Amino acid sequence: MSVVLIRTVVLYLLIVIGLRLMGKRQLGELEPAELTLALIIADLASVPMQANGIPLLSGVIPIATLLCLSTILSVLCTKSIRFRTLLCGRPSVIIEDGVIAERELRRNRLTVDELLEELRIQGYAELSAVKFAILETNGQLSVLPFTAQSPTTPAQMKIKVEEPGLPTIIISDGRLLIRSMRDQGRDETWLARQLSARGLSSPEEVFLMTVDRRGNVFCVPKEGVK
Amino acid sequence: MKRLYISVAILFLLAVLSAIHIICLRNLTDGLITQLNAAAEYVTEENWPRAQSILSAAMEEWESRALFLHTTLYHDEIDAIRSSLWEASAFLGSSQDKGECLAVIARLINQLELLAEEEIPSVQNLL
Repeated sequence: MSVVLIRTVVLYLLIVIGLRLMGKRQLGELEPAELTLALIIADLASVPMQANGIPLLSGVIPIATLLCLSTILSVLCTKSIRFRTLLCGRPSVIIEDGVIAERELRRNRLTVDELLEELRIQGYAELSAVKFAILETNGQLSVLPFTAQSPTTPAQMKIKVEEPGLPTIIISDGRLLIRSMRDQGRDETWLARQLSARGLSSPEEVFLMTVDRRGNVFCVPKEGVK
Repeated sequence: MKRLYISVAILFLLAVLSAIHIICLRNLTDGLITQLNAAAEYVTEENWPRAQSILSAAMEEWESRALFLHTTLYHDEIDAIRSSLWEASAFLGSSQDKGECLAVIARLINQLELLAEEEIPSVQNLL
């Protein structure tokens, strides 16, 4: 059993490190080749994990090979548009100017029911509200509504609004991230002032604190702290 | 581009290591087959001590490569050959039945040939 345990750890770490080096973090947005890779790797890793009689290299070598091939393909995709089109395909415009492109629907083997379902998931119950619907190469549907159906923006209302800064986490689960705090141009004195204003005495009492360049602070104390 | 070069380099390295593995395995199995053929000749001549001595040397060489074999090959196949070696040794030591001994040695030679052959990237193996 210890052999199985060690093999599992080795193969798991190999896969995690390999996929991390590939640069993909969200499985939901994989291209077809990458999805295939993920499925194959899972299968390759599981066999030597469970069977002691199979050498570890029988899992390591195919996984390493697949990761290398995948990296090569992804680099070639970035260098060549033609290759990218060959490997990943092109996005398909399913709805153009409010009109369903039946030919594109048929080409992508997408039914009207599936189209409407996807639109509803994205919050568009009325087909008449959709100007463009594009089936991306990763299978997701991008929807662009008619301007008249879109929420009004402050710019359209000619209202001036402040641009928010990008919040940076400076305290996470009681732990002060000094570097992040300094990157925002803040120091310990400022932090002590902020904590004091909220009735807190130390970063350990804070679950989450963020600050942006404009000085907007968001603070969540830990449960049980006043 | 760095990732491309590293990936290509790793693939090339894996290919080279695979080739080295095939060569090492082939050398090992060819050496053992030569020894087993010699042992078979001595069995035919009913020179049991000499045959036993050669077989023991073959077993020692097989055992000395245990790490290499277990790291790169399926354990079932390695264990089967090991069992056959012990079986041949037992036949030579106890019954000294010429027919049985030659049959076991022939089976052992076949197993060793297949072991090396299945690692070669031939059309038969690939398909």
